[in-house]
Amino acid sequence: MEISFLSGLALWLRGEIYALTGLPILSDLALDIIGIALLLGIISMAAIVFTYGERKVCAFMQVRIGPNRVGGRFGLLQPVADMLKLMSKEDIVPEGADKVLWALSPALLFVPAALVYAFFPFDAGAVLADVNVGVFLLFAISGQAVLPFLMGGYASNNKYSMVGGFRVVSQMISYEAPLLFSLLGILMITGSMRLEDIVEAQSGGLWFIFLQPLAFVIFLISAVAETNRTPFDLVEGESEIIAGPFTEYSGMRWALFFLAEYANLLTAAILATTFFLGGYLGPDFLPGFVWFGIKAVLMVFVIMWFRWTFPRTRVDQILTFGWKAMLPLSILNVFLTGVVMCALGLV
Amino acid sequence: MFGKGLLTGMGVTIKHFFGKKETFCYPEEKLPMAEGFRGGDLTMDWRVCIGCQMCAMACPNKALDLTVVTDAKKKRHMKYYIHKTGRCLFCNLCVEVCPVHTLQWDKNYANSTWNKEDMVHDAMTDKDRADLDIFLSDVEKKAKAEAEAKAKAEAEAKAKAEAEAAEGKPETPKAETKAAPPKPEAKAEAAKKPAAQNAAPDAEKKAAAAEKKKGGEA
Amino acid sequence: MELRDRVPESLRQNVLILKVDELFRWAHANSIWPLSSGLACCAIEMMSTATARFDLSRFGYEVFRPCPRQADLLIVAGTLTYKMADPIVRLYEEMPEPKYVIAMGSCAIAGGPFADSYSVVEGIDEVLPVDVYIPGCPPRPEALIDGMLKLREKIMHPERVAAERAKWAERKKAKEAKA
Repeated sequence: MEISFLSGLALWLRGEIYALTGLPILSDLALDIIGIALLLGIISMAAIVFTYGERKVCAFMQVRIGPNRVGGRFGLLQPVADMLKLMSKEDIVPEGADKVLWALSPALLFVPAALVYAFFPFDAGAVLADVNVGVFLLFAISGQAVLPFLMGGYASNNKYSMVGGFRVVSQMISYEAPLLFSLLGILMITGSMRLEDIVEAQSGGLWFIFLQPLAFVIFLISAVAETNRTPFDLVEGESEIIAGPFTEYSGMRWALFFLAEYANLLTAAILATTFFLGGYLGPDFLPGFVWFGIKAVLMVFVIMWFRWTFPRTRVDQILTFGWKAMLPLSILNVFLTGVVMCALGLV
Repeated sequence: MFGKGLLTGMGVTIKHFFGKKETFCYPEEKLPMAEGFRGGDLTMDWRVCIGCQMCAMACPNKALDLTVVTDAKKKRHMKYYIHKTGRCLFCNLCVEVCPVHTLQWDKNYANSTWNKEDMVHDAMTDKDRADLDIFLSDVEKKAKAEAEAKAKAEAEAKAKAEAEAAEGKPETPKAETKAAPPKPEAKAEAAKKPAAQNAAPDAEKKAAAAEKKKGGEA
Repeated sequence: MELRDRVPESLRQNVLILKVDELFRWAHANSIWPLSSGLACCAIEMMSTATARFDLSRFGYEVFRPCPRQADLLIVAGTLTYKMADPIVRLYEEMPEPKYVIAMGSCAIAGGPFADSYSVVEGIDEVLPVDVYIPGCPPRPEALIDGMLKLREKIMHPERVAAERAKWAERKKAKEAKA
């Protein structure tokens, strides 16, 4: 494996700290901390930049210009103003709420959204946690994100929150299955669950989007449903259920939900690039992580494009679609992949 | 079917994404208002206004508070024209009913305020009221002068009539009637002269002299 | 002002000195999220202010939150009846501080055409504290944008409101003394 820019930087830093202190444990620790700080930085930047990006994309698609006053001609300080404002709002705790569950819910939602960033290969060898069951661990952790919605909904002592919580849980659970089944084809082709192996298996221009187009479509739809974005955004279906499980949250707690939602959005986009668009692979004139960034941003734009084109679907239509259309199609995809692989003698 | 509608929709959105935007930036660019646009504050010309108060009577929501003064010639003028912008419906009934067509909208719709007391708009400014005061005093002076001239002319004519009556008693009624036509002319001339010269003290003197004469004769 | 003058002349373009209060006031003024609380016809004008022609999102105000807990501004757009007065006061109380109220349209300011009716509250300032009044029936979208800009000015410079009120009180006193 060639040494990419980021992993080369990491190796050099490790060497420097070792040379400075003479303790390998200290250099490992230092590098881990730097990695965590970088990832948290990426997540916060994602939240801020994509809030702004969403409003601008939304505006442009609706034939208007978005924020253009706060901070220059493009309104670049708009998300900063939003975040500062949310930080300084009054914190209202509902009277009959289960205080512990209610307070824990935004934090517990943010944790898996942030934790899965440890598994993403930003560049060849630049992974914070290089485990050989990456895919499995990733989806196990992000599957835990279903529970805080229900916690928030139940603990708010509010009927809108409760019903919203039920709907979100049913939607997210129904789309976990097609999400994972659509990846089985890729796992069959690659033969490994390690994310970096999956990316490397797409080298030479053979991106999985060409080899598994059906899986790509199913994965994209399921990922959009998992992140609760339109057309599957019952959670924040404003005209239907006020704000779903988030109804009783104000100020910074709500901002945490907001951040978690955009972190999830970036996660979905990064997964789509890693599994289907070749991750950090690309022609040599740009370093790997730049290609990774470009592809991830492109996928984010596509997901935003979906949001501002399609109307919201009803909850029974969502569930019908998930169980009766997505799941059989993804199982069909696995079957077809198996048949083709057998026929080509790749097994 | 099978997603064709979805793709058409996405095509439309991406076309708009790269297309021309419809927004016009409000505080910097303002749309021109139509001629019949009803908004902003009422304006009126107090010189044209006849003080009939039909606008206040026509207002369905009692949003007009008028104070009218009568001048010396018994003509009404507007002194305070309070338009309560907060109660106004901008229904245009006041503008339509005005018989001299002096009420107009100034089309300045950007008149939001922080306090409710600021929402009264006086269509007559202080300068207008100052002008009105000058006009009223002018009219008063004129009316006084005219009244005095009229009184003086009346007194003169009366004195003349009495003198003629005293002289022309033996005369025939024909001569009296002959004398009658010149009298109004003389009266008019007599009235015009003091008005033209505006000689108030002289008129007073003449009136006093006439009265003395009258008193002397009677 | 005094603190700002302490920065040497050459650095004044590169150094920004703020009080925390000013920073938060700037943030509040530039990111006012209205609660979608349209009651009657003025709500249509409010909706059309958020559309493409008179874009409200240029100022950052287009995020109409449906839930009062996440909103800052209650735009009462339309007639307030006695039946609706309790729910709207409840909505206002559910909003977290700092919160603002805009009275949009003639009905919200003084009852409008229905002021004599048995069922209409004559102006929402009988039940809510109002920050900005926007006259009109209904006010044009540009007038609503102007009203929100006035609210922005109020948030960033709260001393101007008191000054204006003092000016009006003085004017009223002068008029009463004359009459």
